[in-house]
Amino acid sequence: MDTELILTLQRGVIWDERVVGDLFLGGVGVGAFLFAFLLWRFAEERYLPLVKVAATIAPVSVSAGLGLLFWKLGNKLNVHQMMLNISPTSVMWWGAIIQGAFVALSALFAFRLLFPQVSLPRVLSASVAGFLGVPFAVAVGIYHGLLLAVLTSHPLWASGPMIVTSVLLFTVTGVAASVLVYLALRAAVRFETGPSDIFAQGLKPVALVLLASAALLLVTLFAWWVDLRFGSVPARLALQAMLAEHGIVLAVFGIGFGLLVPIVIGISLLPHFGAGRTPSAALVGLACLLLLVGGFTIRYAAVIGGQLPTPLSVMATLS
Amino acid sequence: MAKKRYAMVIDLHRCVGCAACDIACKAENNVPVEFHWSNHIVETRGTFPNTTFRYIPTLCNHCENAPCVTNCPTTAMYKAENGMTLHDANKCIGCRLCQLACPYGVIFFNKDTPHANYRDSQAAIPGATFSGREMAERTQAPLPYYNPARAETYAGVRPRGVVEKCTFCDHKVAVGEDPACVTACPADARLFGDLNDPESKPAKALARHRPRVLQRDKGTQPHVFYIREYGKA
Ligand code: SF4
Ligand code: SF4
Repeated sequence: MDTELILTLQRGVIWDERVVGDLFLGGVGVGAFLFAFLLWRFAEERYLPLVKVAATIAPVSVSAGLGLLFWKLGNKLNVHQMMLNISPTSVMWWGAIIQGAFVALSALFAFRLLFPQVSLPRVLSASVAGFLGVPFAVAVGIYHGLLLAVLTSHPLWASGPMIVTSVLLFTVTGVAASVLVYLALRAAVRFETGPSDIFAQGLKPVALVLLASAALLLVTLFAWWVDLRFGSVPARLALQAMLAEHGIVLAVFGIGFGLLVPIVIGISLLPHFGAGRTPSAALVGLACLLLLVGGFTIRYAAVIGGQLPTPLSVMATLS
Repeated sequence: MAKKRYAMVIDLHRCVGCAACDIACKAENNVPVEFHWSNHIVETRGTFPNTTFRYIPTLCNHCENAPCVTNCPTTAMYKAENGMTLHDANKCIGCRLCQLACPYGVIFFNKDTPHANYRDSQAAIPGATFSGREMAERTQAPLPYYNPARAETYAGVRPRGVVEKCTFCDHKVAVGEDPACVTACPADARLFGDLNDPESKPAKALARHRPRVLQRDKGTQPHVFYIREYGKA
């Protein structure tokens, strides 16, 4: 007879799709903010419409994510307790503070870009909000990786590649969401200034950043797999359990459609950026959409799959 | 006087696997039916006649280095001066991070208002038995076995939306008594006391026998120790 182990635990996942949504939207927001800021500081005037879209996405997306997390709380009326009690060892406590500050700064940044004619004190300028927002954006991105990585009882989460994956995910999804929304708005309201082909040529560096990030993400996911596959027994078992439950979805939507197809589309479009040629907006949009689907799927598999119960053989280890 | 450091030692040679501890805990702490502050792992291995059987009682380990505490964003989960890991339901936001952080699965979350069975108006045998609701009404308590003493240091019944877990019966310890599981054990397999007192029962037991803990590699430094595991030195 095989070994039989029994322990009655509380059933069901502890952090559900709402937390996946929070992490995903948080990543989108941070990536969009950094993208907006970099374009605004270092690119030419013609990028302003894209900058405005990305800057607007940032606070909206992070706030929506926080809203999902709030919805998930069992005792919402007690949420003020996070402010009344200082808990410096808790990543989540820091996250609440950092994200609050980030939402305020990114909202101010977006407001200043969208409504430059509104006169406000100099200290509330787009520059101040942008420069102050950057460290907070980076901190929010790291927070999203650390939140899971510090939970050492979950081997799928407690690994270095997990944090790197999180950082890359915000780059990929933030930029992809900004470009996708921008393209959709351009198609709907034609709000762009200047000739669109010149603008599209200028997007080449953006496409290269996206491609490089997506490729790096693939490498990091592989590193994550290697780390777990050749790691401790609990890590191997956790990987096995996650792949058994979510492996197909992760392979098809996370890696296949979510990363490989957009990379192929991106590479095929590269020659169309520049030399007076314009890449197909539909294909660029499709690649961005797929990257978002991929980003969400990777988050989903990691968050939900990472919570599959620890094998009882591990829980019963006495030493 | 040195600070207290409460701990429990479970003697696996003495434990008979009767689960009296589990039942006593439920009654003492008004624990919902589906939760198990005091719990056990049962392992059956091999083929007759070469079989082994293990029964490991489990509970919150009141870890020295408790990840449930370090991760809690509101300090609702906290370490008391005496080494116990306690929970303040009034501060809890129900984020369940502590549940994710604890490697031992000993924290439970009240998804719904607890003790639904005592708010249900359906009789177990229609026309023959009380419904849960009638029973609760007649006993004039949230549940028939409600123990008001529990409410002296923790919510008597923990409300919907917050977590709950073993407290080493801190309300009993505060008045010089042992936790309910220790008192109920018919085999005296559980020893409770202050590890900083070399004369305490757990300190003496740990001096004589090699202590084991669950998932030592997690680095949580549990304060629930197991001695005399069968087949091990
Ligand atoms: S056993 Fe779990 S709940 Fe108890 S102190 Fe350790 S980590 Fe916290
Ligand atoms: S569920 Fe309550 S006790 Fe647990 S981490 Fe969240 S606030 Fe703290």
